[in-house]
Amino acid sequence: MKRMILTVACLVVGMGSAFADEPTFAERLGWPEGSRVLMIHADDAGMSLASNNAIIETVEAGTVTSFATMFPCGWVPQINNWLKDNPDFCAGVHLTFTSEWTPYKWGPVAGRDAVPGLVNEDGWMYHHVSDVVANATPDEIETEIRAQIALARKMGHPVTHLDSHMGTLFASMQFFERYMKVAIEEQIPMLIAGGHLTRARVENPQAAALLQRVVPTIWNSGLPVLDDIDTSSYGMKTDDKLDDVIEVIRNLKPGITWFNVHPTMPTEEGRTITGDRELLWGDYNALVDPRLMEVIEEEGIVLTSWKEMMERRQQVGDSIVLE
Amino acid sequence: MKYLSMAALAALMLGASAMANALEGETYAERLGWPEGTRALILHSDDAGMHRDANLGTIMAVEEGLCNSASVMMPCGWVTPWRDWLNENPDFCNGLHITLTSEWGSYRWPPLSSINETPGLFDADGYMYRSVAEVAANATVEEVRTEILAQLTMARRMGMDITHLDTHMGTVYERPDYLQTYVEIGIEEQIPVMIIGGHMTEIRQVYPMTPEAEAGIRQLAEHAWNSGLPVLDDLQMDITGLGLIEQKKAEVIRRLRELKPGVTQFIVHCTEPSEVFKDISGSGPNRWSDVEVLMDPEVKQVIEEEGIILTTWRELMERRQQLAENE
Repeated sequence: MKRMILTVACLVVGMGSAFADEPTFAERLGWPEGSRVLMIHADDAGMSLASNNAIIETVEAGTVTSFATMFPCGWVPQINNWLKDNPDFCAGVHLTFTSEWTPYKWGPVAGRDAVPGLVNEDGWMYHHVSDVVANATPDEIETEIRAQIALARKMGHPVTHLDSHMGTLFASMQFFERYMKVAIEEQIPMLIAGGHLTRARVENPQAAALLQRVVPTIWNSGLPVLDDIDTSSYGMKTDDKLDDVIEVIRNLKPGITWFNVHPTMPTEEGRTITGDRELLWGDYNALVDPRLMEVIEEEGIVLTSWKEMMERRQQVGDSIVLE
Repeated sequence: MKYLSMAALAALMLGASAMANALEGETYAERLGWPEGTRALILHSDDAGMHRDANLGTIMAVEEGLCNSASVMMPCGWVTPWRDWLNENPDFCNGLHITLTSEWGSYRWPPLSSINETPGLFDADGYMYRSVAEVAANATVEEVRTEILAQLTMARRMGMDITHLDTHMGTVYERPDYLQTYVEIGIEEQIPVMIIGGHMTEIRQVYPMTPEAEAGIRQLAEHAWNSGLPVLDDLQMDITGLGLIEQKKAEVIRRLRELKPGVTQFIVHCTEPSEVFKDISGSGPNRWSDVEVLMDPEVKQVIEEEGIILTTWRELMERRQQLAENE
């Protein structure tokens, strides 16, 4: 998710102190009080060979504990082959409704006839989230969500969680409701935070407010919830990303923080697709640097994944119900 | 291509005129208005749009070499830059490379039609089948027709002028009913289809056919001709596999010198492989030598010396239409 763009202004509600004395979701999920739990999550697997190979290396470096795959894209078979050799790894569906690069495009998995509102005049997915919001119906969104999940299952790709490429599902309350509906029905963890929301509030207060409102429903439906969402890697300077990421890690608050990255290698293909976006190589370089794991260990940070969170959530069962 | 299965079709469509023309030795080049003995040649590259590297190689072979025709794989993600290049080169001859297979290991594409419409075109992983044989075993002719039309619709939606239809991995030649549908779509749309009905010297070398199978193809070719479409005399489709540049160049020059009268198409797969291409296919070096051979000055010189006329599908169709007007 690059950025949560929320157009539903009326959803902005007051928040702040209500949860101040509440236990963190980390504690609710059984980690000791004060635990600082971190999930470094890589987006955009399957998009290009450059993203696949970079993600695989960051996984091998131990920093990335979870990633999500873009099923409309051409390099999915390669990451799926890797998963066949690593079947226990936490890999979800990066629900994709936009095709945001210029030279390399993808279309809906459901087929253009099934979801005509998801494709632009050329027949590929729209470039911008706002175009999807303007043209797609909630029914089309749900059809495509289900088609991408079905494709993942068909090819034997794990579906440990669902999240949203470019935050499209957070850009409309109606889209978000369908996302939530499918996640709850299918009992697949979805990207949602409802704890201290320190970074989420800074990065997108509207989205943070929306998330907080639906947290009890999601938790009470049997799905895990994060304490915070941190997408600050997108704003970091390329040349000193390692230092910036270390800074994030040293300043982590108690609770579960989801830290979002987009590791990509600077291959010719990767450069052509992204128009040479150096910040993506920056993620890769920081995440494979051994100093990062040293800091994580030094700070006593616990690394987790959606898979572990769901297992913990299942153990909690109905013993904790949120109001 | 499995020409053996053409026998039934041949029996169905047996007529007199095609055989008569073949026996008389009149080439399709002559029927299209070129003087007797003319050797006309299309230098055609497959797989545009398949990947960044295919686009770059094809464009290089056109802009700096002799490539004068290409065809696009609409289910693939890199179609857009190819379309953009065509917008700047609107006279270039761009065909639809009808794609019913997704043959590589790591990089793949699904059909453009949905799984509800064409379930027989989807493999267990949700992509097109890897092999032609699997398509033939699983896809009905109606599904093939639906997908061909979906690809044509998408090409037009993107603003491409489709000058001809041809076939990725020869899948439409695998079953007589597929082949007939392919030709019928060409006739309905009045778009030339890649079909061979002349002396067939080289195609016979690469794909031996029973006499019945060959007769079946000739019948369909003549049907296409009688329905207003041009026809090739021969096809050389094994050039990519001829090796690296020195070896390939020598063989291509030999073939140019020995080219028979008629309209012949050479098929190549121009690609400028970047470091990722080896993860798509091991064929990168052979695809690069396709670019090199079309840019080679000696090859160009041989074509001139031999008086070989370079033509395109666009020109073939214009000539065919002119004949129709005169008839």
